Amino acid sequence: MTSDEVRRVAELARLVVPEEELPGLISQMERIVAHVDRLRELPEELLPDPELPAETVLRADAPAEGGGDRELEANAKTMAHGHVVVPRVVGGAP
Amino acid sequence: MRSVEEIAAAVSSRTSSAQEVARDTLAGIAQLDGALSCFLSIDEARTLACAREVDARVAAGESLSLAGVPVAVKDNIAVAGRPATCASRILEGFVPGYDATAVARLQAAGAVVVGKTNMDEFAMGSSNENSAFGPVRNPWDHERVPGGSSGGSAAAVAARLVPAALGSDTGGSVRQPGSLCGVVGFKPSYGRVSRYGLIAFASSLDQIGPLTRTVGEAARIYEAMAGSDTRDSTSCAEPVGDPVGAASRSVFGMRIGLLAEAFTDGLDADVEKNFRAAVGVLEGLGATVSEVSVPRAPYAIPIYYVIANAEASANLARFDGLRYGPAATRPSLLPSTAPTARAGSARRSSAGSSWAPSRFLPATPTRTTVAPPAPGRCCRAISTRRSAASTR
Repeated sequence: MTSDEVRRVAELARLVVPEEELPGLISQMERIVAHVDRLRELPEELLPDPELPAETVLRADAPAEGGGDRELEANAKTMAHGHVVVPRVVGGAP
Repeated sequence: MRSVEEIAAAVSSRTSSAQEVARDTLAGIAQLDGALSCFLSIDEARTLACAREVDARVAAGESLSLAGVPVAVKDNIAVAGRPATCASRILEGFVPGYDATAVARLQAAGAVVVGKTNMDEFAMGSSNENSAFGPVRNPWDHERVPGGSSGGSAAAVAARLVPAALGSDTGGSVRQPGSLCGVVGFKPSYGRVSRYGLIAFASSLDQIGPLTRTVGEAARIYEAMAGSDTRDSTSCAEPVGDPVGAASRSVFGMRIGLLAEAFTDGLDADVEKNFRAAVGVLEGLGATVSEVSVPRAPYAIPIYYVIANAEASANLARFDGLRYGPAATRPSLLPSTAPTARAGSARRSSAGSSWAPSRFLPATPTRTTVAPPAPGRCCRAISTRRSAASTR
């Protein structure tokens, strides 16, 4: 692992990593990667054929009462016109 | 604190009322939990109302296997009208409007939920140091951790605050705190207990399980909540059978396998000594114990970390400030959360969990080390040693 790789992982995880913590994190990340790398030791021919995925269990498609809007609204920070208000994530400034 | 059986018998025969039991339990928690932090929320009014209902059902002649039994529930399991924070600020203030199936079934059997227990944030961790609302202390020694992530549930049972509690186990999160607190922690086979209402961590591994003082009590709690559920398509349709009867049978003549690969270099000498002593008790009772080798068992842990982290990444994507969780004021699509200095939270998702789960290992020590010292008193060297042990 290089310090650039650790910085990149931290950036993706939205973490601020002080420079002095980098060497410690590099060695920890190296150990983690080495640990998972052990899976390469498993010869593929030893592994069983992948099982077919189990059939998806479905219940009858019958109409039923839902949980009710009241509980939903109780957990919404802001409601407007019967809708939950969420932050704008697309487009320009409002 | 009386046992699950004793409380159910006393409330069923009306020598005690569920309300008396609930009041005593609440008083015990109020007196002792300040030093332990097992609970994140207690709702006295709801608890007493629930107990009153149980008394009315008993008076009406209903037979309830868990009549009046106080139960604590881990804070990642939904109980209608009570907060479910997963010990995270992200879910602070979230109150589910419904019960998890496991909780609904316990309540149908007469159990009374008293409160929600502390845990490692989103069930990621094995020490309970990672709760946003402060760590849980091990009741046997407040200087040590209770294990995790169901540390609040395990500590509440060990401290005799409640006779039973629910936890959730993905990679050891019921079994390991059970071990560190000296109580029974049981992870049922995948599919046995519905996960409807459990806030998901790694969906192909998560199971809800009981923490109690005895195996018999764990069997009673498990029996009440196990079974198929149309709200969890992964729940198993096979009949549950008779776990309480099975738990009371003798081990005489039973063949028990001892996993050779569990006895690694990282195994603490005291842990091994106590484990071998427990095996000796089983042999003394007439069980035949023999060593079994599963050469690929050591690969279970790296496989666990690949699966658990990938699934956690998918499951936690919903806490994006739109569907759940607080929103930043001016978010953009990718950086929807502000950068944080908590590098520790990144480390714990890859290095902080515990013994890997395996349905192939019938008898192994739950943990390679004894309970390490608690937060605030533990030095970096100890944390490092613990992660090293857990990844061996």
